[in-house]
Amino acid sequence: MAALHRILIVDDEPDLEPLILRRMRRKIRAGLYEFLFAANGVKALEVLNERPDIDIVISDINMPEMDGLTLLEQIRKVDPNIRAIIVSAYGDMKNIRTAMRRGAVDFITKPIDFEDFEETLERTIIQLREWKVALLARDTMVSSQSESNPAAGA
Amino acid sequence: MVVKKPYRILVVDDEPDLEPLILQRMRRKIRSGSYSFEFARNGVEALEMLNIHQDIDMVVSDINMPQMDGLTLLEQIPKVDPDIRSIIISAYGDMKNIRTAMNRGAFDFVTKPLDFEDLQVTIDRTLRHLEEWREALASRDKLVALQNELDVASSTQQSILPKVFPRSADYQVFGHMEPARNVGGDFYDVIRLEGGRIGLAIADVSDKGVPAALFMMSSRTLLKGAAIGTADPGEALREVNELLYEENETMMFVTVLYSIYNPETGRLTYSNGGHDAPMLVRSDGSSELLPLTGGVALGVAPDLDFPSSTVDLAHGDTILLYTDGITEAMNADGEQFGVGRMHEVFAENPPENSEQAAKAMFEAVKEFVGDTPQSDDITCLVVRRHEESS
Repeated sequence: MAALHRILIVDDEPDLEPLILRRMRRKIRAGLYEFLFAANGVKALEVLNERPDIDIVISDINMPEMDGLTLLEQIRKVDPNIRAIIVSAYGDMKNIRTAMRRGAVDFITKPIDFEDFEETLERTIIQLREWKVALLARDTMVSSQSESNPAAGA
Repeated sequence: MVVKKPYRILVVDDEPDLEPLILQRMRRKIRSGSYSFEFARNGVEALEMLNIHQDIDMVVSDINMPQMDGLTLLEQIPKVDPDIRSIIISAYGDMKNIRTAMNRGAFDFVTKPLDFEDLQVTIDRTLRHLEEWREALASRDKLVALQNELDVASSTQQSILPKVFPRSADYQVFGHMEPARNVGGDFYDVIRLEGGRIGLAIADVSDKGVPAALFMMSSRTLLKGAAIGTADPGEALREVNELLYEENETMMFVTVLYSIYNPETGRLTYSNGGHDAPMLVRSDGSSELLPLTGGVALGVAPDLDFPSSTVDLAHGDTILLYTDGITEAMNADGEQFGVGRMHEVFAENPPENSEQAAKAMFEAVKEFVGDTPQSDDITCLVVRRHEESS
């Protein structure tokens, strides 16, 4: 069965993948999270296009081919409902501010504090869920209105 | 034109310098009516302000303050109103406090010394997000209201449908409606008339929802009244049309097929107001549509004539009255069920009785459409003259 939430991790450091899989193994095993990995922004966009069910992207900033700040701008074009979290160097205020202004919902710093990582992820998921419920209500209403009034929909 | 109220922003900081600075830097936004600012000196004052001014949209708060600091305030704000968005002001590079603030639900942060350009972009971004969120919430509330309205329409419609049908040694009547999810405008009625005759009506109101349900109610009441006063279906439709037209400000209309069955003679007299032709099914399974009588839908024009026609039912003959929910039922390929398939339903399996005939029709439609959502009510009213008992 598909996991409840799908999270794409974008980082050119290969060490991160086993680390996350190990730290989050309980949540993965419980079917709450599925993690996907991409090594840079270009690969991340490919994964996002293949997997429209990804909810959250957590991306590093400095990467070859396409960096995290550029990726942030592209994600919005793929799906404005995807929530992005940026991973920055500790105290790198300039990049963090740029990321937030480009629509990141939050940031975490390196080296990754997994407690903060999990808390940030959970909070983002709760907000995303609330948002999707509200969107669903809106879509349901739009479709029921066009159904009950076909002339208006035509 | 609707004048939009300025967004109200509460700034919380114990430094008295900030107030004139913000008012000065943000003066254009204030003058254009985009923002208005309130100020508080600490978390306690901020909570008091939030309770007094319930229309505050967002909070911009410093962290270090006497009495109640910004991080504690962050935890308190959702208790006052979970939809208020907060931005925290932290010292540059104070990662620990920034992380705490974010994890306590701050929407974003700015750093000291304040970069007013960044503050304004951040405020705008926060308010844009808030606006989207409020729109989505409003949709949710409207959906609930709409659903309530549909429930009213649906129960009104259900309440007027007869559930018990006349039957005798000579004939049997059965009717059923499968309502569409969002309530269509179908109804049927079975009216007991003088001399054991039975009035059978099937109708489809042009619109949907509560207004259609009310129109349906009055159509049905008027038809019942007219039916009792006359033995001619065309005359009944003529009377209903006049009355509907007089009071019809909504320009809705209703198609009606009204017929009177006389069990003594087996004669069915019918008149059509813009509705689908009745279907006659013989005991051998062959079927045909009865000729239309030429009337148009009721409620749109005065002084209309509704000719009547008759058909004599042989023993074992079945008459199906139905709505376009059957003929226009659509499958996944966008094909309509159509009259042709209606004939096929009985070709191999002639009706056994009224209820079975109606159910066979519903089954066939259901099988045809598969998982395609039903967009209109599906209604069928059947009368069958029994086989002669041997």
